[in-house]
Order: sequence, then structure tokens, then C-alpha cells
Amino acid sequence: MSKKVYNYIRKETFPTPFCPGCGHGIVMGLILRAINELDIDMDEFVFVSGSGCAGWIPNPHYAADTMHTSGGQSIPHAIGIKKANPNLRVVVIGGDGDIGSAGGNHLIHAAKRNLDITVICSNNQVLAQSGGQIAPTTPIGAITTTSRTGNVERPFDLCKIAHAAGAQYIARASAYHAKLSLKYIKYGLVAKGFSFIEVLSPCPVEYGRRNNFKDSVEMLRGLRINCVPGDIITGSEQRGITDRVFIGEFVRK
Amino acid sequence: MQQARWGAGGDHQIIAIYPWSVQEMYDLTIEAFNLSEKLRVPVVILTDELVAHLRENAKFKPEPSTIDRNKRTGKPAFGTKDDTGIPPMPPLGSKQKLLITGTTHDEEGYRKDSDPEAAAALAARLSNKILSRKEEIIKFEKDSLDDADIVIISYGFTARSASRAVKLARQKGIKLGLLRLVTIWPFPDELTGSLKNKKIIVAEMNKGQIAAEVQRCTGTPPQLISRTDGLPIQPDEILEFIQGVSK
Repeated sequence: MSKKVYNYIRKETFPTPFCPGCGHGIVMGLILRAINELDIDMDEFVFVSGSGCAGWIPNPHYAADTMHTSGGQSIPHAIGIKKANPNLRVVVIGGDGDIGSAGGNHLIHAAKRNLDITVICSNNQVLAQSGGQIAPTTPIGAITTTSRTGNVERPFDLCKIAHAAGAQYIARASAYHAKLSLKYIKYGLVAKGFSFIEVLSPCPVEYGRRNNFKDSVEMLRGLRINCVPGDIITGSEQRGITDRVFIGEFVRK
Repeated sequence: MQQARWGAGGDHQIIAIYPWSVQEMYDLTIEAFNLSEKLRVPVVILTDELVAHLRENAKFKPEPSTIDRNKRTGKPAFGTKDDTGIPPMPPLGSKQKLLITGTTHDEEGYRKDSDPEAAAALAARLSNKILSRKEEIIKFEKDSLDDADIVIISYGFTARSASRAVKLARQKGIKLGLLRLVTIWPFPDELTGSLKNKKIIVAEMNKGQIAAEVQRCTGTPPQLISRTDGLPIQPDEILEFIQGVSK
């Protein structure tokens, strides 16, 4: 990694609040690496985040303009910032609870409005910071503090929602597929129009330990096995796989 | 009324203003933005359904006087130790690496949610910057107040009925005066307290939320004309009440 990346962080804010094995640290590094490889000045960016663990990715760690808003309100703030100063590169970073649950409606309407902002969702499939409650992205059967006998509801596919609402760039990868995620984040940061990138991120503490994952490494292994290249839009069942998570670049306009 | 005042966690001061006409709705909205830009605080414009449905003539200013916030860079943007209590607010994208958070923070914006000193300093600054400027913020209107034996305190649309009631009562020889609150928060404590030797009546469209504030200032509970059925308090209704009181 280029040493330059160290200039992008506020060193005094370390260590991060992330638990050991959390995937958000990987996402945090990937975004900085992407900015470094694109060679964009950090002062051109405004990072907006909401509540939840993933809200800590930019604020206070990134040495740029960062804004930590209340739960689900990151996208509306980002829209306001972009409207007030269209020259800024506005990036929303949040978790699935922030962007898919409390801010779910904002996601849909921001994609519909097609403002030139980038939304990066570090999806750990659980409301981790508030104590491991069920999230709209929690898979069927998963045990959380509010679904003790297993989740009975179908999870959201945030990429499909973004597609239905008209996002101009949609991609999904995982913390295990770091290089792929880096590629997508890099493209998403400079793509015109509303870009949505979902990065699946392991949460060993609030999700893994209640769902028979021994440790974070096992969760990453699970991501390796369960994420397969595919297309959410055509629903192509590559290699006959139907019960897996499709990753890839789904929309690139 | 109270929700505007206490709509957030932690102690703080807020500005809330209550127009009573279409013209004031326009003027006070400009005023609200100016106060907000100057003091770096949200300003709530309270209104009721009756004011919102009014159709009246209003004069719009071709060039309203506006105040712009202090956008100076280079100073801490989230706190200040000087007497003003208002730090500069540079815009995003001005290379200041602003660290914006909703949590308790220090002057640089760093989160200090377990630092008692930082929390106390923040709460004190947010309160003091409003309380120290109470006199310039608070707006009110007096009507025949000086020689009045009975004072009616009201605000918003209800104050229009009260204003009419004052005219009608004066015709009947009852010395009635009106104090119309334009700024509700911060509350005009001293002014209200100075009326404690007069008979005070509060007319409002709730069960006495401002009456409780009046009691806090004068020490005795005021008489309350209250209506919560959605219909406005009528001038005759006030007059009838006053005639009962003045006997």
C-alpha cells in the first residue's frame, strides 16, 4: 500500500472502534486505496455517514470533510451538500441498517433523482451497533437478538432496489473479494450519476457468534463460498446456483 | 409549544417565533433565517392552522436585509471560548477538514461523549449564546397595557381574538390590555414577571402550556381561557370571561 494513504487518515483517532474481525476496517482501507489510486485530493470529498458501525468508517477517521448524521439521514444530507456545491464529490458510507432500513426510502428516492453521489454500503446483515437486532438484509433462518428462533422474513436485495429505482452504477462484492471491491469502489467514486456499491462485510461479534461461525476467518470463507459471479437483473443462474449471493457489476451506464 | 422548546435531548436553548398574520409570516421568516445565520442555531417558526389558512394582503420586500453566517476559516469550527459563543461556520469544501458529528464534541469536532468537561462546556455555550442575547431576540407587542387592570397574554391567531376583545372591553369601560408574544422561546421572563400585580389571563389553544410558563414568572397561576376542540377562541368568548373576572 502506498504510504500516501496515511495522509488520508487522522492518526490520532486510532485505534478504530471496530471489533476484531470486523469487515468495516477492510472497507475503510479499500475506499482510501481507491482514492489514492484515482489520485484525487481528499479536500474535494465530503464523506457523509449515519448511525451504526459503518457510520464510523469515515468519521472521525478520514482526514477530509466528514459528517456523522443521525440514523438513516446520511443520503438526505448528502443530497443537500451536493445541491449546495455541485463541485464537491459527495460519498455516503453506511451500513445496511442505515442505508437499507432507516434510510431505505432515501436510497430509493436519491437513486430516482439520480444526483451525482456515490453510496457505499458495508452490509453486515445485522444491526450491529445497537446490539445485534434483525436488519432488513438479515437472511432467512439467521438468529439475531430479535429473532431468537431464526428470521422468518425474506431479506432485501439492496442492489435490486437500487436498480429498480434507477441507479446508474450498481455493483456488489465482499470484504473477502477485496480487489474486486476496490475495482468497483474506484469506478463508483468517479461514475456520473447515482452510484451504489454494496460490500458484504463479516460481523463476527453480533452476527457470527449467534450463527455458528467459529471466527471471522470462517465468515470470510463463507463469503468466498457463497458469493458467486452472477447478474441480479437477468437472474442468470450461473452453474445452476440459485441459493447464493450474486456479486459483480450489475449496472454500468 | 413545549415540543418546540424541548424537541431534543440534552439541555439547550432554542428560538421559536409565532406569527399572527400573513405579513408577519413573511417578515418573521426572514427574521428567523437572520437569527439562525447570526447565532448558528435552529429557529422554529410556529404556526397554527388558522394562520396558515389566512388570505390577507402582504407587502413583500424587493430586497430583504439578510445576514450571512460567519464563514471565516482557520478557527475551530465547533466551539469557541470567546464571549460571543458563536464559532465560525466555514462551508464544506473549504479545505478545513470539518469533523461534523451530532454527538457531544470539542471545539475541533472530535467526539467527546465520555468527557464530562467537554459535555458541560458544550451545553453551557449552547445555552449562553441565546440567554445572553435575550433582549435582542425577544419580540412582543403591547396593546393598552400601561393602565390595564386585567392583562390577557396570548399569541398566534388567538391573539387576534384577544386584540378584538381589548377593543370591545375598552368600549365597555373595562381596563383590559394585551401582551402578544411574538417570540415564544426564549420566554420573556422579566416582562411577564413585571405584570404580576395585574390580573393575568392566558388565552391559548391548549390546556395551558404557556400559562404554566406565566405562572413560573409571576408566581401565581393565571386564569386560563383554553380551547382544544379545534375551533378558534372567539372575541366574545374572551369578553364574556373578562366580564366575569372584572366583577
